[in-house]
Amino acid sequence: MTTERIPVYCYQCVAGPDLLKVIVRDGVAIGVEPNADFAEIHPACGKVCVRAYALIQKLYNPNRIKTPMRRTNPKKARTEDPGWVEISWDEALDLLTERLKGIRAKGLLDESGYPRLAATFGSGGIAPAYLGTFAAFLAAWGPVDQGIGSGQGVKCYHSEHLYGEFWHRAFTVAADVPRCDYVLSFGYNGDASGGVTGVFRHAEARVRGLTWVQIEPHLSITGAGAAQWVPIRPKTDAAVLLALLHVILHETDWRRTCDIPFLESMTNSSYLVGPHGYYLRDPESGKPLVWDLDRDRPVPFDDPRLATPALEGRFLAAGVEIGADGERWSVAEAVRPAFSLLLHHLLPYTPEWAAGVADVPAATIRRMAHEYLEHANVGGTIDVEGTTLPHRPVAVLLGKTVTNGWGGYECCWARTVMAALVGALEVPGGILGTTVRLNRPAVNRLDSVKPGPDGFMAQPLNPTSREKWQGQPHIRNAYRTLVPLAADSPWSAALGPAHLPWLFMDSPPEHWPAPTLPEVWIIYRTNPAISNWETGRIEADLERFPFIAAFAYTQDETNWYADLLLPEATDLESLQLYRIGGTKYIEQYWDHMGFALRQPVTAPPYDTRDITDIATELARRCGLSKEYIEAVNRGAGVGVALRGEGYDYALDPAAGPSAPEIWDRVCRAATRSLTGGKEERDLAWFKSHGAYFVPFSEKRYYLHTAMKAQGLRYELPYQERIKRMGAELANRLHERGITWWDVQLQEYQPLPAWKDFPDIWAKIAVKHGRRPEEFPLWLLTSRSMQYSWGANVSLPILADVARHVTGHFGLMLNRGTAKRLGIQDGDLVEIESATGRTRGHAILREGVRPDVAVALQQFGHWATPVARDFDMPSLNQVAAMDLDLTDATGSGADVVKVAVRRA
Amino acid sequence: MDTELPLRRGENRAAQGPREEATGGVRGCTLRMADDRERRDATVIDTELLPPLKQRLWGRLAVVNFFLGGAGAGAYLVAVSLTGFSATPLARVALTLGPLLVLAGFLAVAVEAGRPLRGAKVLRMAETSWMSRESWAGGAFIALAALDFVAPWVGWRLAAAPVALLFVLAQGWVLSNCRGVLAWNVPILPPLFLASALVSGAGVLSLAAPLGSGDADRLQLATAALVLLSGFVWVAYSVWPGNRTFRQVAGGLREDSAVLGIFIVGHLLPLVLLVLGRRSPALAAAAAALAGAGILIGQLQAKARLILKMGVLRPITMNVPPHSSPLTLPSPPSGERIKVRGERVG
Amino acid sequence: MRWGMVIDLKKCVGCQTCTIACKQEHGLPAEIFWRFVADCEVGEYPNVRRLFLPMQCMHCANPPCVPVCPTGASRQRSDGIVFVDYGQCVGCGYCALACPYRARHLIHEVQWYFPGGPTPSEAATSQPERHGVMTKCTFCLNRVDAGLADGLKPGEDAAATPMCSVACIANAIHFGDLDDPESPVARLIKDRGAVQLLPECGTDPSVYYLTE
Repeated sequence: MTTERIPVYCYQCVAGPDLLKVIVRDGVAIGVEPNADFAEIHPACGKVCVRAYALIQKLYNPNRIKTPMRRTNPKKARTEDPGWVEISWDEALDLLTERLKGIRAKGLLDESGYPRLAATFGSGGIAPAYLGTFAAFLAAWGPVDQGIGSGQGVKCYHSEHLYGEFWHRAFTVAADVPRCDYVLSFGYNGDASGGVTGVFRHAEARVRGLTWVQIEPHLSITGAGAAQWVPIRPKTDAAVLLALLHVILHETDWRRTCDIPFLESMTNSSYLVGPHGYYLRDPESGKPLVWDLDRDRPVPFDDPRLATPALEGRFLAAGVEIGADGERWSVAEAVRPAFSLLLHHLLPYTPEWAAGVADVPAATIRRMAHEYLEHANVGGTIDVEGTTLPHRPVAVLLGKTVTNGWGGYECCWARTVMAALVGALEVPGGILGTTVRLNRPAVNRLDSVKPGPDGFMAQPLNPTSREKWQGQPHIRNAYRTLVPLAADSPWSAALGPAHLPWLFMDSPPEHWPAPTLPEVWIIYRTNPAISNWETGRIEADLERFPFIAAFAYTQDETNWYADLLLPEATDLESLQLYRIGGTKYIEQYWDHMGFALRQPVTAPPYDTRDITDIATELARRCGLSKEYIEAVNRGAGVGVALRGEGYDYALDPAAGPSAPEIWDRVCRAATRSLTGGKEERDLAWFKSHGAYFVPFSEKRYYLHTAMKAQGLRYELPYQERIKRMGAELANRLHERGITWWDVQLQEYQPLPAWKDFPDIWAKIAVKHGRRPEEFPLWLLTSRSMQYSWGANVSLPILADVARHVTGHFGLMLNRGTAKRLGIQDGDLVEIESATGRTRGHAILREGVRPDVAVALQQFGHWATPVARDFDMPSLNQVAAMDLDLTDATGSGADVVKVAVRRA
Repeated sequence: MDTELPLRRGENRAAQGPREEATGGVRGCTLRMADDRERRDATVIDTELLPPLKQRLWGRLAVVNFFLGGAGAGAYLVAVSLTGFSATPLARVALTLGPLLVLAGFLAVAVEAGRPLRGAKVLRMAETSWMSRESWAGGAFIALAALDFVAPWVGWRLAAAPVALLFVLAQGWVLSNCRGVLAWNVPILPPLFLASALVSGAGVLSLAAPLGSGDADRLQLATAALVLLSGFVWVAYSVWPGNRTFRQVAGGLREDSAVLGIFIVGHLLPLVLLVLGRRSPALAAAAAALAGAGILIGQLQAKARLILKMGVLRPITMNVPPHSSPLTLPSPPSGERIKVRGERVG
Repeated sequence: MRWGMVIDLKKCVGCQTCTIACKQEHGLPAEIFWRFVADCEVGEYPNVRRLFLPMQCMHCANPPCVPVCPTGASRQRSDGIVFVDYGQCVGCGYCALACPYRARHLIHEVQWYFPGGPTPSEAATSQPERHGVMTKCTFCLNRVDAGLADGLKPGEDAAATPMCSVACIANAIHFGDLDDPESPVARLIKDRGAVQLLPECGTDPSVYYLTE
């Protein structure tokens, strides 16, 4: 009996990657275990979570697509069996290549200017860790529309991504938990979604004494471990956040409770604002002016002799304001510093007001604000690896539904301002960015801090000027056109308005290119018919796609409409090297960084192929080998360029390399790049050792050092650039006669105000000829750690264990509400919204607000084996896709107004 | 107010690794109240974390064992008591039926077991296990009764009777040692099983007894007395003291269906029939037979309810501290300033 | 030497990683759990607590499941581990009813995860001697014994430690020698005031819970 323990990484959810070993006995994979080799290096002792243990069943699942399959029934509908027949890989790739070559013959862009080839990768950005070199094939191809939305775009953090990167290079925001003492969490459910590292950190912190307050409409997994649960009304978080700011600034002596030096020197608090809402600028230099209290006159913000800028007051000053499209105004009147405007802006947002909106007692709001200040340790410091840094052990965290859709901007802004007030931004103990995906370089967010205008960072915003604005949508979600903040990195396509392609497919808006379907749509690890809102509509759209090539694990609700099923080798069957360590969402904070390997652990049980080999073969068949290899050499898909200083592992464009050959070179180049050329490890080494690391300084967790080093400020609290951006975008869109984005344009406020966000969702009923009162409950979702991503819905072992966690598999309802509705535990209930209906079994709870119902995750499967028997309702079945529900960043939220009754 | 917390304003911390193992000493748990001492003295309630759960190990076949076993051994005990260990027709009925019923019960429960072919192993632990003792006693009873059947001798009967008694009590002790099942884990179970066995036995005999013999008359009286005894013990069980869950489960005996099936059909009706039989000798045999049927239906229902409905695994409870304490600082009056300690940097 | 466990309820998040790791380690069939984490709710809205309670065999010092066993299959080692000698078990179920902790599980018929039969991994890890008999948490005695034989320390060296403790992502499950005052388990019990479940049953469990 031989037993091997084969190291691989797991990146089935965005909280990874993490390291494990697969136990293989006599050639059969029988289990997994933590990788103890990295117990000292991995932030959670080398452990992996519940889903990783199901990887064995994922490998041997008899319900897998076992060989390529081709549709024989030309009719596509839920009621039409596709008529799959097995074909060889040769035939499958022939079928796909034929279509692809057809596109190349016609032209890569169609008559509307959209790419004919679309590709959607799901799983929240995990796909690159499993896609092998496929991204290099797409790079070789040319324009590809990667914006046809899936859950990855629709359900991701969204506003936090865009505003977070804008303000502090925070693609997502994490609390510096190990050094934090007090967390106000508005729905951030890290004990379910934070992965191994998140759970580990929180657990340690709880025992240490960190106080966590969970403000959320239901008592989630994270709420369970919190010191207090505050059951807030859905979508009213902004009200409470604004009230917290009000308490800090109007009910305490902010000059004594806040971090004045931070506000004066690292924010735009002192920048004078003119009557049009733009900075008052020096007419010659264009620099924003501040009022120097010592010299009693306005000076540019970076005047070296400025010691005491005014934060409040009114001052007579002269200068210019520069608005949209270079519009200038000369100003000579009383102006106020931005901070003064902030104070004024927050006046109406009293705790009593917020209590009425959010159903959170005013006393609780006051208490939270005071506790926040008490724990903030303003003026305190801490030693990090020999460097003294500010220590501000307080953090405000936001959940996905809070940062998505309307209210997301307001919440992200208020949270970040709360951090700025006490200097708890990007310093030990406070809120930190995890990584960047819109800015570059992705591997070191501190390096993405570069000086820009007005003392702030340079931002890679999509232009809104008349000359440079991308008026013609380049892909179907048009992020360059509609969302300046989405930047233009390889990730931007997934971060644009992900649901707009679906929305516009059958209801195209005015003055917009006619919607076209992609001629070929390649999908990978994504199931939009489950993970998008208004699933019925998605299915109707899917019926019309000319050709869908689906990388398929099992039959599912989206590939039901496909023409070709390609069973690529999955997690434990294929080869890939991937970056690991450093800092990364969700709460990955390492003191090392490096690369880890994923490798086949045993002979694959079915006729699957490594996607790297598929990519290489497709490139060859399409006549793109040279471009493909060059893309690989540049690092597309493989994560590291194969050429660097002192080494050259570039592949020969003429050769047709195998996956091991490619990855061997990647291994060598990766280790060289990590070690400045000094060390090299090959594939054989990685196969045996699993991962290679170099030290990573914890100082790199904090943007503070980079900001200080470059003398830069955070663009807070006043959003002058956003205001201008919005005004310019409005000009551009109106010049084209586009008015259907006007509501979204209202989000571009310099100081975000409360709007009646809940009402936005209530009013959807009216649009569909119903009355809001008919739908009194809020339907929400929450994370199931046992089920997120990984195609795990089809694995019975996860159903087995998930049943112990409440919510699997039914609709959670407040017990009192259920009693009023005559619903008993276990009863089949109907859930109805203005746009759809679904059913599920009632699970009665005390830990759910009386006006709320919760359906975990997104189920509602009808095709996926095992999952289709769960009878589990999904919010997506009853949520509308609607422009009215879409905010300026192009996101919507997982909230729907519903009625629930016994079925 | 704010002096109660170990406030760290402007405090400078030395290097701290993010993964310092949290060793002992409770610096502050998240349920910290303003005064730690107050919290520990506060009355905490045994909170139910996992509700009672119906056991699924012993089903209908186990009920059959408890019912038939009790009826068989009880019939034997009643018969030999009434006949003074002499081999009257009544005794011969009991001697034949008794062991057959016990054997049938054993077979039923063997079918339910996971590895019935290993059945003989259950005899190994008589030193500690009541189930072992039950098996020995039952087996000995069957053997002795069989010997008596083949070669009648009062000695067999004198030996078989105490063994039958032990068997019946052992069944009760088997259940009362089930610490996981609140409704069984009470000392009244063995007497309950004894009373049930005896009355069931009387019921069997009443159904099977020949007509017009002297035994029949005494059997009638004995049956009536045993019905009263059984009724008393079952009622006592239904009001037996215990914790909330126990009382809830035991109270199931007072549900309408239980009252009807067990007390009315199983006890009241037979009593009425027996009285009727005594008043009208012509109806005596029929009345006795009906009474016997009623008794058996009642006892079967009772045993079934006991095993299947009342066989509820106890809840899992724990002293859970009271609901999360308020956040440590009470809300200061509006306008009051938060005291600031520590130097500002810069 | 008495093996014991300390479970930190302040750390547990109910993720069921320990649940599935145990299933994997012991090749347990579908719907059989030697351990799981209960998701408990206490109180009434809005004063509600939700907590996660890992449940498994308590390896009691006074195990009620041992004396009731008619065949002697239910036994206890000198190091406190309570186990089932599968070859002696007749599957009567008595011990499971004697246990107040719902720790014992009779595998009547093996259920494979998929209707077509066992997958290669299920086939490789299935143990026929466990069919029809009582099964339960064993404190991974195979790992403990093999580890000790290799000079490893259970509770500190992963290979010698029960799989639930090894797998727990919150580091909430500690294992060690209760009789060693310097062991992490002994120190945690002393320093943080651990409690046992259902102490009124008189079982003296070897599994302790930290609630503070």
